Amino acid sequence: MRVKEIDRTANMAWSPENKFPIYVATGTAAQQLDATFSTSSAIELYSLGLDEATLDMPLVASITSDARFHKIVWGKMKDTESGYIIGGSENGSIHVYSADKLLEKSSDCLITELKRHVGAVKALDLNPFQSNLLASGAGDSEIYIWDLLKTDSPMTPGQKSQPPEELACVAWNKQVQHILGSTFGSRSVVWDLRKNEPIIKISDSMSRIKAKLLAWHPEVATQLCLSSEDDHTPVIQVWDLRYATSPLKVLESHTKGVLSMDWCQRDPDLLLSCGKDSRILCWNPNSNAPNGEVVYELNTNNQWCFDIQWCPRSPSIMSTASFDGHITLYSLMGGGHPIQPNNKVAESFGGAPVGSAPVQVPYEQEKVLPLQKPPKWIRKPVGASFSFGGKLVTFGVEASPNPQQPPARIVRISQVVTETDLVVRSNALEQALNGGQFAEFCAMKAANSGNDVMQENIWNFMRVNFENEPRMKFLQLLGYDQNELARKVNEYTGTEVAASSGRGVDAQELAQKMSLLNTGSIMKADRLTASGQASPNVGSKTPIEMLDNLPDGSAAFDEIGSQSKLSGVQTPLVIPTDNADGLMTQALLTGNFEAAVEMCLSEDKMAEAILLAIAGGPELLIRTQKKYFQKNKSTLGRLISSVVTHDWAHIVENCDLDNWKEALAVVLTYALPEEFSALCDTLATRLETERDGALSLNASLCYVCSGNVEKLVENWVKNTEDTTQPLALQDLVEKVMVLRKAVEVSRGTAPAVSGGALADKLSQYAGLLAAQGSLSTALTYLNNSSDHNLALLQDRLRRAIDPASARGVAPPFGVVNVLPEGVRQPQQQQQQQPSALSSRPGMRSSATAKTAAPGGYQNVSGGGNFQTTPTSAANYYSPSVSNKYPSYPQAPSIPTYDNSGYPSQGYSQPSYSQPQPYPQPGIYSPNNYQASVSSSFEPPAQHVQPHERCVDACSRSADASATPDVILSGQACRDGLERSAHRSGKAKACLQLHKHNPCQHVHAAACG
Amino acid sequence: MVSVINSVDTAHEDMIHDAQLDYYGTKLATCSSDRSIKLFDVSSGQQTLITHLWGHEGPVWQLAWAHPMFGNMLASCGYDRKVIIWKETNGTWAKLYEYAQHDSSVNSVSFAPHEYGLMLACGSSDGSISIISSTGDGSWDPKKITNAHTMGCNAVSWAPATAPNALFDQQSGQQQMAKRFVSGGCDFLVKIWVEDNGQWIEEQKLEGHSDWVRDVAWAPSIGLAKSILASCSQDCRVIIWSNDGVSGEWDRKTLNKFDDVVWHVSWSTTGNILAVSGGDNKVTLWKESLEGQWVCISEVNKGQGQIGDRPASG
Repeated sequence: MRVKEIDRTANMAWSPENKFPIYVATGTAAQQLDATFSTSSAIELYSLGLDEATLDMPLVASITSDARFHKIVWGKMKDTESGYIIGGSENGSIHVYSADKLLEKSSDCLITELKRHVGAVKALDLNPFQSNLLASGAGDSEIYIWDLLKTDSPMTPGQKSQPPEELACVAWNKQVQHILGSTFGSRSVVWDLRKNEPIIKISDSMSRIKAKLLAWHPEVATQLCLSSEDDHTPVIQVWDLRYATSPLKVLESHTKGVLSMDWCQRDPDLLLSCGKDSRILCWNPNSNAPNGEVVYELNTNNQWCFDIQWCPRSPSIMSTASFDGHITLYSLMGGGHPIQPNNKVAESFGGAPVGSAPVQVPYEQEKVLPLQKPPKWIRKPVGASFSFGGKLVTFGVEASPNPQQPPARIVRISQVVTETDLVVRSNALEQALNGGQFAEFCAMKAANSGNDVMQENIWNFMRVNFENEPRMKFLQLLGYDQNELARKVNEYTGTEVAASSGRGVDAQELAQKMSLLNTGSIMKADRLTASGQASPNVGSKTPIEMLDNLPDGSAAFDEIGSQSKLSGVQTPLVIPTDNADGLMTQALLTGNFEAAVEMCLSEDKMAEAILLAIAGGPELLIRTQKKYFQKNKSTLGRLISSVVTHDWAHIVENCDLDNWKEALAVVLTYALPEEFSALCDTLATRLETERDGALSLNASLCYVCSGNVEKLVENWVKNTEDTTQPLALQDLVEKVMVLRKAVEVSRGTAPAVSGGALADKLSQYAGLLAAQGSLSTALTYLNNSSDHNLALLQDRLRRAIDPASARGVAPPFGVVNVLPEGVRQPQQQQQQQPSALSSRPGMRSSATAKTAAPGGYQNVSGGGNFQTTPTSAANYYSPSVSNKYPSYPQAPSIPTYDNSGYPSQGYSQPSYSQPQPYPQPGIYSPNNYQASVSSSFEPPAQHVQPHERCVDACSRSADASATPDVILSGQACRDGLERSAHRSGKAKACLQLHKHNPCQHVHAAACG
Repeated sequence: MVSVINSVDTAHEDMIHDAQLDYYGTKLATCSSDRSIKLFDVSSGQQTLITHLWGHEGPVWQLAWAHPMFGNMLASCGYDRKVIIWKETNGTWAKLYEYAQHDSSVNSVSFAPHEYGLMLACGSSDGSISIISSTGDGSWDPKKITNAHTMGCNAVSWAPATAPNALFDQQSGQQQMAKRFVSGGCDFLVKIWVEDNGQWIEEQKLEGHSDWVRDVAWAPSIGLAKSILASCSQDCRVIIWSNDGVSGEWDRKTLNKFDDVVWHVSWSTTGNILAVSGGDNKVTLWKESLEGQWVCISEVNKGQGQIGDRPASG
């Protein structure tokens, strides 16, 4: 099919194979005249312009020449972009042009003129190995070999061949660089330039051909073709120089002399020829068919073609130059452009003939069949295609073990595993999950977390989930080790005087930290009243043992009580009677506690007000507490108020985020099981959202505590730079799976995956595993899923693992029964809506014959067969399911203490020990964690009730204004002790506790 | 690690031109210059010939499996200018539809994402691309882009239906994705085509290759933030084209210049690894490093290879 056309009577040359874009160089043909009768001569460059859908080729350069040309060649040349264009002219000179300069439209593009030949230079060829070597041939048997880099002294290939004849063709061998072929009028001679002599003369005694051209085989060094332009022997002979007595075969189809031929460098099975019979033929010169195999004949309306050439770079394009003034480019593969009428000849006479307007047939497409035999360059020999599950299908050219046998046609299916680490880690995780070695897995992860403290923390938190008393241990991990604390308190109280200055810093630090909990907002009053019922819960099994020790403990209380009384006796009691004190006295004396409290409050005697309120009963106490907290906006006061009123939400909602760890500790210590998760999550949400997420990473710890898998994933997505990195995803999935397991352990069922970030990530992860070929493992991450995409992947995995297992099972997408053209759906299937398919998939469903069971292929809207368990991670610590925590009716805290943790003398004198709840003020120190990891997590021998520590701390501060705080804390403390006493049924202990009013603590403090 | 898990002797009588596993990876289809197509059951390591399909009158160049929502369906194209759709019914494979409206070799077939329904694109040496669709009710609707690639189209590949960005949704709120595919041809160009009101129009013309574009592959968008294409060429180059969806410009990055013609490129289903098949019988696997460089992670020889990052050789 015609692709491009240039209206020139010219010899042409393609740009070299390495040159891009492709150009065509033309040199005005000698001894021919076109319809203009012009005798001027020019070298012109045209660009191929394939992207323009017209027959025109843009002219990009033109330079006039003093002679016309018989032959044009274009070869690459070192140190040039586009090489040299060389023309053999009618006057015996060889013109050498720089293609670069031509393209630059520079005027000095003629590099040199080689003037040695006498007659017209009709034969030119550039050596394919050394493109600076030019062979030229002219009349009188003259052949010169030019070094284009040094043109002053051309060589000759040997002695002149006799008799002197005009050279028609010179051609370098394509395989051996020093072999040159040449044709004279009646014979062909092959020269060896190393020996500087002709090595063989090809002559056929049988048929007297007039050899015009010689073309070497592109791949076989010893084979060549000779074409005959003699009309009596219009043949092409194929010779093998190893048997140079007669041609191997003779290609006979042209009816008149062959004018030009070209052997395709990209496919030796293709040889083009054109002749005086106006036919353009394509041969397979390697075929053994008698008279040669014509694989293609190009339709052409043109006159004789005197030149035909394959495009070296784009082999399905070829060019012809015809005597009727066209250079035409054809495609052998079909494809091309609409034919445009061509009236150039008429135009050259001054326009169209009268009355015959050009007939426009713009869209008539030539129907040209492609080559019968596909050319080598479109026969794809190799391929590697990926498929589902990381499979790679490859095929290629197989070496045949025996040349007689055809090569094996083998297709290999390979498994590609690129993420080796991922697969190894995924196996480890799977093993841990299946073997139930969760704590071990966590410990291993924590130990292997290297320098990543955060990771180590998270894994330690994870592990604790699988141990007894997780909340207690969370606290330890946060740096609040109760044992340690008790020990320090003891230590401290024992050496209080000596170490006061040093330890005082700690006390101040504590106060400072607590003050940071304040964010300045006013506490909500309603919380105060609503939360009176609850009390701290330090999940623990220890209270029973502890209560066994109660008698000793109560004895201690007794002792303290008696001491307090004593001190009261020792100081004379003066009852004031005047002013406010007087009024108060009156109220007291009359038993009007309410009025007395009011007086105290108005006089700013907080301690007295609260003491009185305690005596006045619980209602008055609550009212008084409320008023106190309203008045006392100090930060410490607010913390205490939260503790006293069990308003943990206030703390997590309002604490300074730098103190998130403290807030988490408070929640871990006090919060009820049912509110615990929500509080953790609230804190986590703040960590994520406030301060532009600077502390966002820490939120994951909160989610680990609360067991909120979904949120953990969301947090991870926010904090992970590249969530698509397989190993990052592995990190997440390890956490998610272990945490889900923890939830399962505590509640009996794992939370279902129902869309959202978690489903996304699990799907991604399963996809990753699937891509590594771990199909079965991938499938385990998709169970119990109701997400449609996961269901799709699940189905695909199932069928990939074992197609038989899924036979008869409806896939999670609707199936369309596609019918052949013209066939209508059978009657019984007419309920289907034909319109649906065009927009979305899965809309139409019909029973294919294979699974004709009714409904078998009905539209499954995605995941209908997957069970959904609507559960929420917020119920993680639900007391009804958990067997970790004793479930008490009121779910109170379990205060624990023993003698050593509650030294009797500690209350008899103002030497309250300074607790150290913040052993490391820095957020997390690795040392701290390692310490807690290395300990074997034995149940704490002694649990110092948190309230007591608060009281201690308040007392220690020796600040008068803090006194009411002490009282309130003490009150809470008493509540706790009382409950535990009640629960254990030890009435005596309970009674003793009642006797032992915390107000005595205040007295003690005041005395100090 | 690349390890052979199944080696199938197809017993084709001439060169194999394509081999494709189905959606589940359990059925292998092969096609050859011997004019035939073979289907093998390769599940669980076996290699049982399911059927031997005859119907093409010349070399069969390429195969494409349809999504299983259309049943077991395979499309093939060949030098005989035909596209044939094959389908299994009651365990028997037979020709379902034949398309013979090309004037030259059909070099490439590719099914559109199943979200668009049954639709496939075919690229031919006659320079045109056909888009054939069927609603399944027996009507087949071919559309033709003439002169898509002067001198012929060698490859077509569809964009995923789930666009990685919203740029392509010109009208906001419109859920329906614009259908797109990429093609490569003998005009050295890579072109992107988009459907607009039922018409296929050229959206982009990507220039970068200096010889025939042999294959194009649009990467699956899973986990990727941008549209990515790979093209390979007779010029021995593989080019990665990417569009972040913000500027609308396609960024060009040469993956490598190989020692031989590159015939085929294929993305892994997760879209992060590219398999490159060269004329020297070499298959290499490539991956983009965190720094955005494409590195060769494996050389696969007869289905075997090691995995390891090493700088690109060239």
